[in-house]
Amino acid sequence: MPIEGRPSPPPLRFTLVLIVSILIIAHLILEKALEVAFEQPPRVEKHQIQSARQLIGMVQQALSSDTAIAESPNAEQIIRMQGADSNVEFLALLNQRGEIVFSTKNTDKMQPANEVITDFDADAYQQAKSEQRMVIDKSPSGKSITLYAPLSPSGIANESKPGQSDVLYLNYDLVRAKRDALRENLALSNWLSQTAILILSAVLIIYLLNHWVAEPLRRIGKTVSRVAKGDIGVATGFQGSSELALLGMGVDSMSREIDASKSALVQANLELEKRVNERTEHLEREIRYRRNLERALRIHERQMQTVFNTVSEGIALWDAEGRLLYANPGFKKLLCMEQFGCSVGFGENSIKLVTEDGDPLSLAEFPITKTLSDLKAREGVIIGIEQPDSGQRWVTINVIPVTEVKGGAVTGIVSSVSDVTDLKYHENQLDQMAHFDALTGLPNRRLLHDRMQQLVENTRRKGRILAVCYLDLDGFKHINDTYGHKAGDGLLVEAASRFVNCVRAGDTVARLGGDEFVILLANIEDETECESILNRVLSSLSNPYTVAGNIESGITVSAGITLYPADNRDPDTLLRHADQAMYAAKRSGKNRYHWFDPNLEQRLLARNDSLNDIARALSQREFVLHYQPKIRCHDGAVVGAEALLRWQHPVLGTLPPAHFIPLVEEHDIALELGRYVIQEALVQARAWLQQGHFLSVGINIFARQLQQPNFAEELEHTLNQIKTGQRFSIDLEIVESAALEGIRDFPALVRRCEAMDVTFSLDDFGTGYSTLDHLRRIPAQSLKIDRSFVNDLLSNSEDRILIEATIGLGRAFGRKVIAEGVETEEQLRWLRAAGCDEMQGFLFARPMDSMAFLNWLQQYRPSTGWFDS
Amino acid sequence: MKYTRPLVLDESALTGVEEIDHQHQHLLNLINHTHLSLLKNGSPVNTRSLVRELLGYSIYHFNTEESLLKQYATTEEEKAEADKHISQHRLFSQRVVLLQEKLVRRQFIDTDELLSFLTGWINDHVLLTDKALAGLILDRQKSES
Ligand SMILES: [Fe+2]
Ligand SMILES: [Fe+2]
Repeated sequence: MPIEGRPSPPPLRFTLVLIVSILIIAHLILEKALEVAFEQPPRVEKHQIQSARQLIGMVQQALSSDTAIAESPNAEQIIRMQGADSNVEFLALLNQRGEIVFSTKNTDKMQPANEVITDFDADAYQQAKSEQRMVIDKSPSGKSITLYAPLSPSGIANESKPGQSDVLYLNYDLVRAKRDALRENLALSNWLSQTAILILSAVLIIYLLNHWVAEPLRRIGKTVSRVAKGDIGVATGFQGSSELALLGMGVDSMSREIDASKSALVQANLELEKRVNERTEHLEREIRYRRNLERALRIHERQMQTVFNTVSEGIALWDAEGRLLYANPGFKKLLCMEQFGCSVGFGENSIKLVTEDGDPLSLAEFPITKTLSDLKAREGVIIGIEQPDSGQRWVTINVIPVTEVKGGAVTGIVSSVSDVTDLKYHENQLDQMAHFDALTGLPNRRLLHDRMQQLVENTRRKGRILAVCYLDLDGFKHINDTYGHKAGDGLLVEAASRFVNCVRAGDTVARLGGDEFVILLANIEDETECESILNRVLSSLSNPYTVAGNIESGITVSAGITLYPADNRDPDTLLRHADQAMYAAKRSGKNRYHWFDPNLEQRLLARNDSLNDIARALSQREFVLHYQPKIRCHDGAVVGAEALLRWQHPVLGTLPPAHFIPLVEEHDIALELGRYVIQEALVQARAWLQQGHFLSVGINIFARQLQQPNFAEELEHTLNQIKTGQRFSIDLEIVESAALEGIRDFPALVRRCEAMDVTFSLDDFGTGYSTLDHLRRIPAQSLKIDRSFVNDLLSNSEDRILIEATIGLGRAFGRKVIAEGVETEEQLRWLRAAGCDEMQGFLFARPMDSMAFLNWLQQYRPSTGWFDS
Repeated sequence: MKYTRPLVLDESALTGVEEIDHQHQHLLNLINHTHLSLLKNGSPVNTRSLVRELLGYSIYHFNTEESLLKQYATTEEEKAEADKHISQHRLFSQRVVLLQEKLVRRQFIDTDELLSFLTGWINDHVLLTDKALAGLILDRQKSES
């Protein structure tokens, strides 16, 4: 802010002029003052005149002692000496004539004074001489005085001799004198005043310089320095056109400029500052918020840390690349990481991992390792960790991949591990309880099942035999009912110990419940070994028991056995099979064992299938009859044909009965098949008859057909349906003659059939049961010699003997003898010679279907070479 | 009595077709039992019924297999293989029929020879021929599904 009312400094030239003026004035004042002091200073003049008088007086006095003044060198010297006084213009001793005796100036000796001295006042001279007094004469300029003093040899004398004396002339310079006087008399005051004037003028000059030059400069300087220092509104306030004012104004305008820009700057600064403040405040708020947040987080983290550090559960975090980020002490401890450094950290040599089932587990199969590689969650995996020093611990492991958003990429993995050893221990105890029978301490059904599974596997691998024996006490219910459960339990314990004593070490005895037990005999050599052990068991168990103090001897055991792998089934099925066999043993009288027949099921299955197949074949007419001619030996005529059943199997091709009859022999479908064969054969026989061929048709029948009580009736019925009024004969060929013995009244049947022109032949004569006695009791009309005898008859004499014997028997009993399987002429000749009645075989014809047979029949002529004799 | 280890259908003899494997197991059991019965010189009736069982069952089994052969052997090559397979079946059943007849006629049976034939046949046949069939079946079933 400009300061108002400042006196502006005058222009410098003015000041300089003023100063010069002052100096001049001072000088003038001093000069004037001096002049005044010389010109009219009455006191000073008086004093000077006095000085002049004194000088004169002094000279008078000095010269007065000298009597002869005029000649006295002394006098001259004295006068001359006075000339040294600068005020003494001219001093001279004038004799009475007015001549200059001596003067201060040598040249004037004895010169008339009035000639030499210009202003010589002769009057005054006279006066002085005459009056003997000193006359003072003042020059009109006032500048000097002239003194005329009479000189007597003594002063006193002078008075005595008036008018006759020398006169002293003195011209005294007043100005010089005054000056001198001033100098001498007024020297101090004069100096003081000069000094005062000088001081005054100096003070004035200084003041002026100070006030007009220095002060404004200072002010300007101050202002500039304040501006420089940054003071606002500073101004010199100078106006005008003087140099300093201009300088001041320049400074002022500069200051204003600076002020203006500064205030703009300040304004901007203020704005900026405001914004900065706002921002700062905002930032501070945010920082505060952050700090609070951080603090909260820190607290939270500390809390979590504390939780993590103190919980016994192990917790670890991994990044998605499988690097361990954090593991709490629990984790490190449970997974033995301390001992083995970081990573998942098991020294595989020192630590053994096992699965829940106790199987060894490699580190690669460890759930955490697996999840680290496949990023799949695993929960509740139980792992056993075996350490040499601290034994086995069981842990349950959860491994869960963490995603930032649901379904997003895996960002890390959290794994937790907790020690479940105690739990597992209890579980094991429960397991123990669950696996063993509380009463006998034997393995229970559950453990048995596990053992069986292992044994079955082992047995299969080693190619051995495993026997599964199911045992049930006989008569136990009676004990329980008579003596009560407690006594019954005692007996069970005793029985259990007998079982255990009978088996080999390593065999398993288990109790299934009640009085049912199972023995597993592993690695047995064969059934005999198994049987010997079971015999031991049976005999041991049948020894008397002491029950409630009584001897009880009625307790025995029934057992069923099945053998793996013949019974190649799972453990449950094996048990069921052994159980089935055990029931069979019970049914057949107890205190024994029974083998399970593993083939039964499969056999039934096969049979069922075959039966269905045959039933289908029947309805599809897949069964056909082929015929093989029977040739009469003596003339070669065709007397009959054997009907042979063939199955035109869609898959297997044409099957002879030996290939399919065994499947169905025991079943009723065999009877149906038999009926079908009879029916077909009869129809064929009738056809031949109608074509003019009277042929006996041979039909193979099963023993079971004959065993049917209504066989004869049925046959008769069929015949009646077929018969055309003409007679034709049927020969029923019986393969297994042994079966005929079971038929209640076979001879009656034979007789009844005979009435219908139905005869019987025994197909297997010479083999098996077809003994002489057999022949006697069975009234068959024909005997067939098996092809196996015919085949070898030429080479084998035994066969020949047998054939001859058969033929002999046939003759003796009135039976026809028929040879099968004749293939060569030699055989034919031999059989004819031996007395055989009929023949069949490839030599004549193979079995043919009906069409082929008819063709053959029409072309057949007995070979003349064979039947000529 | 000389005991020989029963034939066991081990892993290597499994064809992978469950029905066939089941039947083979049973066929094997029957052979083992026939074997045992012949060795023990057991009752002829028992032996004969066993052999009848064996015969019947092998027919049943061959029926199963040959049906599959007919179903799956389509190319000429496969059909030729199938014919070879079938002829092996016929050979087997003929031997069993012969055994059956011998038993019926109480003729001499060379047990060792018979058993070596039966076990040899089943081993060779199951391991080679039937496995080839099973391979064909599984192959076709896979390509069908
Ligand atoms: Fe086969
Ligand atoms: Fe097979």
